[in-house]
Amino acid sequence: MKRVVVFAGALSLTVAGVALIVLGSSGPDLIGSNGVAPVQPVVAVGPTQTACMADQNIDRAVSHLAVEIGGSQERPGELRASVRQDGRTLMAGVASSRPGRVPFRLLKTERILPPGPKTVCVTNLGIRRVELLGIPGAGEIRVNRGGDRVVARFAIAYPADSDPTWLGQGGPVAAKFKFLRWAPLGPATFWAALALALAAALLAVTATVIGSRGEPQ
Amino acid sequence: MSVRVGGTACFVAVFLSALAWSVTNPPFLAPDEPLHFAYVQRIAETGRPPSSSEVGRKALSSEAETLFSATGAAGVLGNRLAKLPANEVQQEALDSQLSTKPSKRDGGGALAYANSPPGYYALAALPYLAAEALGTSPLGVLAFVRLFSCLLTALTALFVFLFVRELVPSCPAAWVPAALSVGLLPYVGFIGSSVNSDALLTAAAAATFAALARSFRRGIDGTTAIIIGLAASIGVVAKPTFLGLLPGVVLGCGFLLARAWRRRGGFPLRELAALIATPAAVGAVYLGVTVGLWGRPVLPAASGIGAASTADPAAKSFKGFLSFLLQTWLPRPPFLTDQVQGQWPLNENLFKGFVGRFGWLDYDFPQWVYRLVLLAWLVLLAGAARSAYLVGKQLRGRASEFLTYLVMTLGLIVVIAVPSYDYRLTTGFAFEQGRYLFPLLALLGGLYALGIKGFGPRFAPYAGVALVVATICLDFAGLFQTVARYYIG
Repeated sequence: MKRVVVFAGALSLTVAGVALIVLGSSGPDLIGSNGVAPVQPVVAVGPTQTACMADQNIDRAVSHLAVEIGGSQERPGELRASVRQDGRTLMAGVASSRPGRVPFRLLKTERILPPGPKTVCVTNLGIRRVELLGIPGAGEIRVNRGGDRVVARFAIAYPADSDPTWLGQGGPVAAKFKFLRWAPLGPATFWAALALALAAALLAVTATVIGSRGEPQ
Repeated sequence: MSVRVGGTACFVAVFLSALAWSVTNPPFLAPDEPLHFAYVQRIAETGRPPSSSEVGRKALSSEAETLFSATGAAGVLGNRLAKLPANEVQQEALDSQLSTKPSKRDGGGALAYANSPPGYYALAALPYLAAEALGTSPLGVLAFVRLFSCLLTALTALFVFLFVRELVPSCPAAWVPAALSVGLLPYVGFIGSSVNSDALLTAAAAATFAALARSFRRGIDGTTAIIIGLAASIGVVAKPTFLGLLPGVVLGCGFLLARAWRRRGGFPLRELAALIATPAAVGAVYLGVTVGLWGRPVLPAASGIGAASTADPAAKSFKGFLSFLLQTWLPRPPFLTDQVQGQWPLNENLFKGFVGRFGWLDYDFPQWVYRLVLLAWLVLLAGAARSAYLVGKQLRGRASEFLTYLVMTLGLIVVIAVPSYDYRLTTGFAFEQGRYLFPLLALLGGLYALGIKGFGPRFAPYAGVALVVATICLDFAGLFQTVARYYIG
């Protein structure tokens, strides 16, 4: 009887622990990125200067944008990020710059986000130079209109609006698993992995509880 | 629960967990997996291992290159912001590239771990060939080879169980939880389910510890002598890291033979012969194939551990090495020159890396998880200290056994430190990773078991259950981190 209680307790704890991880931990913190790694400083933006990068695909769901800042600053200034198209500013936001990822909450200045590629610009509103991180050698960054041209791309991430949990992610993730994976199982691959992990957990708990009253040797 | 049932349960549970990892972790997104796979593919396709003289030959075959780039692995590797672009367009692109039948035989050059001994790779070529014979897709072949690693990881858990049983025979409540809590660690699942020679090295090391522990408790006989010799030989041909354990193994065998001599009143010649003949037989086969057939050096230095030094000789010194060793394992005293760039490798690379640092070392747990694990380990350490205190005098009778394990541990530490010191001097970057400590997994199991025993006969079963439940939760957290890393966003 006691062993049954311990087993039930252990199983409940395991389920509770796994459920906490699934439900409690935030899942996707990004809804996308421009796929550029923040490898090294690629462009320096001086006070009042603006660095722009064209041809960015920005989803309608985007409400936040983040860039990566390098170096170390004693006193952070402010940065302004804006999303533009054909000279019009569609969204913009301001944030304090500091080394690392700097997120901007974007406020729409146009009611509808028109389709087509956009330009993302970062303006330095502070009094110190900031360095945007990215990868050199591909793409183009323009500093100020008609100003310097840098052959590089800076990293842009699009953080999620809220902090969504894992709940509800199973379907979309499983759908992704059917591509380029162990093809025969298709989308079931994800669920198979989950089932394997759960089976391992169940067996481990059972064996531990049953083995807890063995005879010393 | 019988020993057989307990051991089987550990084997199956860890195998299932490793299998879950092998399916969840995308192809080629484990440390150096493309290069390890290239080695396996070279042996399977051409019957020969890579050679360090083949500098003109590609590391990856055309087929592996296609898979590496078309699956998106090359693009997301090291870039936390990038996700696997899994969609129809990418699938069609891969199918179309593979339909041109890129060569499987043009890879496996000098960069494909050519300096590593072929033990793991030659064995892994068998599931590769089986998958080919079944007509599996190229990614399916990789899955089959990963399956082989999963089996080795499950074997590791079984050997840890057997080791713990001999180490702490008086506390059966600790055997299963200790072995499971080692085998279900997320990093063990992650590395142990990928194509990597660490899988065979780890299993061989755990088997060596188990055979030594059995011999220390029950006395050495012909069978255990053969097992010790076989496990140690397999370890050496799996990865040169195992050489670090050898001084301890030799010392342990010396203790065991001396003890048998005292007990029997005659020298245990049969056991000594088995201890010498088994490695000699394995060595003869190894030399016959690698040197005779393939024309490789006797024991080539591995890339990484055991590799030839590339650091400036003027910058190297024995004193500097000792200082580096000290700073790796202990906080740096103020009077020593900083050799670790202000970091503490034991914490940053070995501890955190061991608890969980995944992908190509590009994502890990939040900091609070490491603190929680450290707290749990400290509690278990206190339990182990209490166990040691309670048994008191009995420990003295096992001094030779514990000395053996200590020398094995120190040997491994030195073997890891030598290339780490070199690498730091050459590049300024850290070399050591948590997985380099995997040969000591059996000792971690022993520590767990002693920690559980320290809770006393009444509470030890509950402590064991709590440890297993906590490890399962950590394992799930690692799996979900992996899904989030590559598939969400």
